[in-house]
Amino acid sequence: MADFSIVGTRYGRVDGKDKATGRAKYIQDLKFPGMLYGKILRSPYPHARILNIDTSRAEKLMGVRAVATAVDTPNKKFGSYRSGVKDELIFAKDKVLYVGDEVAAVAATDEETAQEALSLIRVEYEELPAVYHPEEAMKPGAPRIHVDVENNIASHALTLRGDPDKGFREADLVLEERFETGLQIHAYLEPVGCITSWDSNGKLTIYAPSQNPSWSRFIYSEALDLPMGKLRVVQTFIGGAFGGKLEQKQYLVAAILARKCRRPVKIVNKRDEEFQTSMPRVPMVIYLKMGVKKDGMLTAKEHRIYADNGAYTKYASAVLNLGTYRVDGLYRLRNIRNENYLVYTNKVPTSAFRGFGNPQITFAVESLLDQLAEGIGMDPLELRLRNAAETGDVNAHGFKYVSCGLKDCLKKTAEAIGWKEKKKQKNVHRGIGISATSHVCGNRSFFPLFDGATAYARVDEGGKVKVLTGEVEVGQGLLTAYAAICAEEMGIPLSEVTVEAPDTDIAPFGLGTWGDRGTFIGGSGVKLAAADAKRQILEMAAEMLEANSSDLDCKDGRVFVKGSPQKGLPFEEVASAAVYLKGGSPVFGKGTFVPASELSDSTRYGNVSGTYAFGAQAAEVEVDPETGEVQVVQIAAAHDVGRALNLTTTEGQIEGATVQGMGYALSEEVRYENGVMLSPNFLQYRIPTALDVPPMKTFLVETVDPGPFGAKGVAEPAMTPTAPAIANAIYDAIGVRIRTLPITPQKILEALQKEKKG
Amino acid sequence: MKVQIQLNVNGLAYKKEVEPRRTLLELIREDLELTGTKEGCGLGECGTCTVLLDGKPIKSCITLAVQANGREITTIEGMEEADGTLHPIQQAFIDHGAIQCGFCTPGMVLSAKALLDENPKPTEMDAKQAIAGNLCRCTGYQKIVEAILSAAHRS
Repeated sequence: MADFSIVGTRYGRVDGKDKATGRAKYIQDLKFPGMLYGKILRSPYPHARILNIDTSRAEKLMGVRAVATAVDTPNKKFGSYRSGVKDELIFAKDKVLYVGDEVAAVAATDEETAQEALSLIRVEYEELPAVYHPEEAMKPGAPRIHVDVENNIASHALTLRGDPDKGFREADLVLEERFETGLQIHAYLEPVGCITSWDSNGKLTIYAPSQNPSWSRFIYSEALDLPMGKLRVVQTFIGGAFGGKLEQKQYLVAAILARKCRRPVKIVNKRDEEFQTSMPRVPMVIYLKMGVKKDGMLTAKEHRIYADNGAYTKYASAVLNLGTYRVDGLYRLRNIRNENYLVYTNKVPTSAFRGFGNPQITFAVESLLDQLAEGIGMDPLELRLRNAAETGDVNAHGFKYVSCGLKDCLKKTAEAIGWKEKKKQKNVHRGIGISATSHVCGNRSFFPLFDGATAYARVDEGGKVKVLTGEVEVGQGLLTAYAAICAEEMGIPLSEVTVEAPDTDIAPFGLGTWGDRGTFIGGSGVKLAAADAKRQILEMAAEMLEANSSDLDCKDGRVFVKGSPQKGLPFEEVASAAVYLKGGSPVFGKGTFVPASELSDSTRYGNVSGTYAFGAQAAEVEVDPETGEVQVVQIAAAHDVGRALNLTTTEGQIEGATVQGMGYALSEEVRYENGVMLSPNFLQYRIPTALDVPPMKTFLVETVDPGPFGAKGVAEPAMTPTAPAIANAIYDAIGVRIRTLPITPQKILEALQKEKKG
Repeated sequence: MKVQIQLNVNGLAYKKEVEPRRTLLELIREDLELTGTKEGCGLGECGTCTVLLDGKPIKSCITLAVQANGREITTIEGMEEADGTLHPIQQAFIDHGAIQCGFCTPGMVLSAKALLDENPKPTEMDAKQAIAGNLCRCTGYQKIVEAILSAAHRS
């Protein structure tokens, strides 16, 4: 192993003390003088025409400073940057399309007054027939949700590689099944909120826990009809995001209110609003067909997905079309036909969530692989190993795997769970299952303007280094990773580096935290910036020591001559000199990293990421056939992380993602009745608690990778294999296969009864 | 009509006039401006608002301020020593990677303190039960449990 001071060891997170003491200020903790509190009036109907809105009584209530509806907005349709679909307005104008749709809003001197004012707004609705399931919504005669969209189909895409028909003809076994995945809520503990404020020159500042501060301004600019230069986003501490804190309509509502009353306006969601409106994971109905030869080699794959878009598109089209084809490279598939339909329904708009389409399709593929293995009488682990991708592969969609530890991940998890012994000697109602995953580390096709990241490293006169980036800490440890990269590269202690949260007026334009890009792409930018700053420091030291800068190095905060290490200077002294002797100019390092990714073509062929992450998980479960309860006994997770920058936080990403995957597999279920969500709280929507969590063993598989010190991403892929591993273990335990998520006790009991009746 | 209450928060005495329906969470966050205590759900379901009332963990979002009359409250701001030294539980949370987004952390730390004050040598199951009412969406709990057990060992 290379000789590192910080990278690859264990250390506490740089924001740990602020968070452990309650000093970290989240948006709910912030206040401005003169600030007002906003509340949003939402549609109580899943589909209705707005006949009239009367705000006069609300406006007269003491303490109310502004009431806003569609008439106060530019009424320009907008949509997520990537989708190209513009189907949203800040407030519903003619129709409401789901329970939770924004209709009006109030700003008042306190929250209670704002809430009371909402009750004084009279909206006359004419209820319309509604539709809630994508397969129903596509049928002729189904209620039309957007007037200009036929059959409620928001998008349709077909991808063809090789010759799938030939592949299926060559197979010894072809299986086709229908899978269905659930609506998973991010359930981050910090509700979405913002404070918006306009200055006297008409510039808007949004203080918010934003995952993509720089780029979200494209959408705000469009929706508010405001030039980008008049929009500033300042990121506050984020209390969990998982894909759910990309652009928020709430910020736009607050901006409209703030403009109207010329005061800063704060809005924070209540928890039921979070559940009802927070853009959860896209549910998918997946028809999947795969063929295999007797020797275990896969011959073809075909899927048809009907995805539930909800009322507006957001990032669901990208989730569907850029997320669900990644699984095709996990195994060496050449013959592929993928058909995707994104369908509007009168439900909460769905969007990005950790894994981005991958957990949905991987659940189907990895479940069907086990069926295929059983069908040809092969061990499921063996079938996976025979087909697994390897370093150097270019997959059917053009992804170039510059490093791939997939086989090692599969072997490690299987060994850790006791695969061989437990397959030989089965315990009653106990079972084991395995699943793999692959993911991008950044996605060139998600933001067509550019791929890459820029960072600045500024060294002040006291020798402290400040890193500025456009990337975002969401809890995953990005600030710590960047501080470590910078400190390691410059040869100074970790304590000397701080990383700022982005303020779009100051930070470089960054794409933000999504697509597992933070470590690989953002971290590489930081490393280059640190190297640039170090070069300047060594040049200054060269003048001071009367040496060649190429003969100098820096370690543990001391610049020294490589040949005679006793000759040197403290880093701080060199930094001071660099400022004081150069007219106050700080050492300012700048680094830009552009990965070797390419924009995919019109068929989505292309190497969209500079590297790819891989992983595998194995689960052991015990099922109670009387109650249908599943107890996860243990989970082993092995992930190809390139190189771990911090062992503790890397394990933490894997453990946290795995538990989210467990919730997705077993307990997290949203129930709707006539378009109304019946479970908008943590009592009915069950995320795992400390008592639900099994022992987890994590293994870090290290490969040689082009990332910073060799690191790649892990936060997203670590959630993908959990649900299929558990589903496969349940089948192994009781011999029935559940193909819909979550796998509730009720589904297990029904399946067992059905099997009994035979 | 407002009610006068007296309470002790983190060792300091306060006299406050509050509406009878004001929650303890509102009193702590808004009147005392101790924003380390978080509001995650407002319904007593997530545990981010956990504080200690006479040493016992309670959910301050479903406790009325008047219920705290004459009693002692500990919030996360009361965990450090006067010289800024962290409580061993706080230090263990940092060292063991028990913190990610940090939003559940104050409540978790207080639930852990209540446990260790009563049971200095908890088992893993004791630790899990102590934080069963504190949701965390980031860590998967394993490192939080490790931190609590390690803090027990340290103190």
